[in-house]
Amino acid sequence: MSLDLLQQKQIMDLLVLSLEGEAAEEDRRQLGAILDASPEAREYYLRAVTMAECIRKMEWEAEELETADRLGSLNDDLWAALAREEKTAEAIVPERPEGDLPVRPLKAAVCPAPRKINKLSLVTLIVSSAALIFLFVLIQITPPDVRQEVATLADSLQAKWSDASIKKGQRFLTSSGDILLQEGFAQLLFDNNAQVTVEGPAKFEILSEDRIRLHYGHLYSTVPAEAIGFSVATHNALVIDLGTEFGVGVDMEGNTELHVNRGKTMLVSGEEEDKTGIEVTRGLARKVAALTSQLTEIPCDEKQFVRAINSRNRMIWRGQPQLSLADLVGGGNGWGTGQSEIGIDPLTGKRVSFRGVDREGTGDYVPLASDPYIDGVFVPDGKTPQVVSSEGHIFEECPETNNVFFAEIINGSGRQISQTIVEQPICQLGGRVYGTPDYPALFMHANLGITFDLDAIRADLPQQTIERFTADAGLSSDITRPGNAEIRVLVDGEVRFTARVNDPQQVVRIDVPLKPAERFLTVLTTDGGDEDHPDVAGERSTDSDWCIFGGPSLELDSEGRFEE
Amino acid sequence: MSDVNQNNNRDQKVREFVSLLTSQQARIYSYILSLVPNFNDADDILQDTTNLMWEKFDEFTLGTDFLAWARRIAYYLVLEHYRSKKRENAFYYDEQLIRKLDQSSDKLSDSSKDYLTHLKGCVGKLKQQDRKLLKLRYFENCKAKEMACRYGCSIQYIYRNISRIHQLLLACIQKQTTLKDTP
Repeated sequence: MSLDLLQQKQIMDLLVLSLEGEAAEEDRRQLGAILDASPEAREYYLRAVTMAECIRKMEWEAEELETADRLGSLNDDLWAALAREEKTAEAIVPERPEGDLPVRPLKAAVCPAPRKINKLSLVTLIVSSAALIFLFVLIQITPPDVRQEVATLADSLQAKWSDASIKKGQRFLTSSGDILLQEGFAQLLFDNNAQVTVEGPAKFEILSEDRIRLHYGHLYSTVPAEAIGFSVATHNALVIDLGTEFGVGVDMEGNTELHVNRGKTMLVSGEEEDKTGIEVTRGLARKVAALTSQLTEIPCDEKQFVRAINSRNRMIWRGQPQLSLADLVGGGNGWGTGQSEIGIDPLTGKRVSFRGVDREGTGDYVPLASDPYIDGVFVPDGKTPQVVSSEGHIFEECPETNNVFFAEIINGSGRQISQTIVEQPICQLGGRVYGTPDYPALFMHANLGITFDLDAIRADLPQQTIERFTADAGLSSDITRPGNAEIRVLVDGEVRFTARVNDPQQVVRIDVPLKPAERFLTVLTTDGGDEDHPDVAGERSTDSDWCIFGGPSLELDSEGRFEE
Repeated sequence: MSDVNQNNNRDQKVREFVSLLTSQQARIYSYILSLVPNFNDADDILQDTTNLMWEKFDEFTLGTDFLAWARRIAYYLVLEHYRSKKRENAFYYDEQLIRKLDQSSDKLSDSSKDYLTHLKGCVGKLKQQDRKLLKLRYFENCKAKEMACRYGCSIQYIYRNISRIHQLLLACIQKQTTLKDTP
């Protein structure tokens, strides 16, 4: 008798601990007992040992390192994520129970670049314009650094440089002249962990380890605590970071705009003898006129600047607070790049054109190994323990269903089905038609389940925390026969939301808070337990269970990332 | 025998031993690791095995099964390892289990070559963060404790993820091996 998934997991868990020398006596005893009792267990164990040894001695050749580079260089991407996490991390905490803690991008043992002056001390002395001017003058007369490497091109997307030799991973030197990004986006990581995202067309120059000059274009700075004092200079202004996120834009006329999204900055502007400095804090913005250096208050536009990019999933993030799970189902990055009216087959995990015909599930959890954010899909039947994640989480209370599904898990309205069955558009909730660019939807006719990997999403959004999952849900209000279904939301296999939907006018609001340590978010629909008559048309328990999740989103927040 | 002849004979013996050991050391290590699933202990036992094999190399008949001979020596050193554990009142595998594992390992003695062949392709199919974790642990040799501190999570959580990745890779390799064997 072959081992099931849980038995294999148990052996592998104990083996890994044993190989690493971390197995307690009870663990070794347990592993010994398992191996002693079963030849299948011994065979699986020996294969696992062989493979563990192969992994240990596997040579990571250049092509694997290049593959890692294409997907995000281990050094550069991980460095960026590590650096951000390291610098905003709280004190190291003692070990906590399993499953209770976040898995975040790794923290590097980074030592901040040594400072010549204690910028924080200087900044805290700023109590008057005189002190401010002194600071400005000090910065100006500080002897320029000798040319040294101070920043790395951590990522770029659709980038076209005037210097075609600039490539990802490139190290930038101080005082090496203007750099022209003709189009596209670039993410620079300074050695002090300040991150600057540039949107072309833009011309800039790296002046020192913590100074960049922007001649024209847009850039967005994310400056952690240890890089306080990082500054952005334009021809008529200087923005000094005081622990913040801010965007600076210079238009072709030479006007400078500063928009502060987090924390506070010091903005110095004006002519030589009339320089002034003001504190510009979160939610505020200022414009410095090109010719007169006159300072005016302008509305703060949080979405004007590109804050982060990710070339792997072609993400261009301007601070949108919601990530669409429907877009992920469509193969997108959560920001509208996915294909609509496309479905994921719960039997194969492949993206396909969907169809409306009853099919039987297999009971298997189908991992989507090649998808960056979707962990797996399944058809819940409740007759066997329902695995809902690649880590083997079990949905213990899965109700029994008829193990039939009618359509794939669809990003969109499923209107192709509606055209063959009903004349009215389906996918309506509360009078609103979903499955459009403005109102995306997951169309999940019972019985279907899909699990998202929140850790994978977090890894690509290191500046954000995932606060909650929200959606409006119900049965399509335009079905001709009453349905009866159940909608559930699980987190790491545990139920966080349940609702029975049997009225087309009914709309339920889903709002599930999410903790940093929680990894797998599962959304599933099941038939409501009606009697199933396979031989009678229209009397299957799944009939008319047109379940819709309108606007299924992860709500993001970066509030807690910086001290205000 | 003259000194020159003695030196020549010793050099020849060394060359023969090194040649045989080089060709079989990986298999010997796999065998030891299967009986003592702990990298550090297995490394030590391999070293002891190699030393003892050299000491007893005069008893080995060239042309016979070097691997079988080496495994016998390793087997008894493994038993000795567990006897010492017993003396320390630490849990040990009893001889019955070791014998069962020894018999089972005969069937898989050639699998490591196949595994290496498929492993790289399977690693390439992992999600990026899983590949990163693997690389940090086995290429950068970053210890789990260090990773746990950096992640801000428990060591157990790190190991669970390592175990999960191992499971995925083994399933992938098994699939590749099955496909290869299917006519």
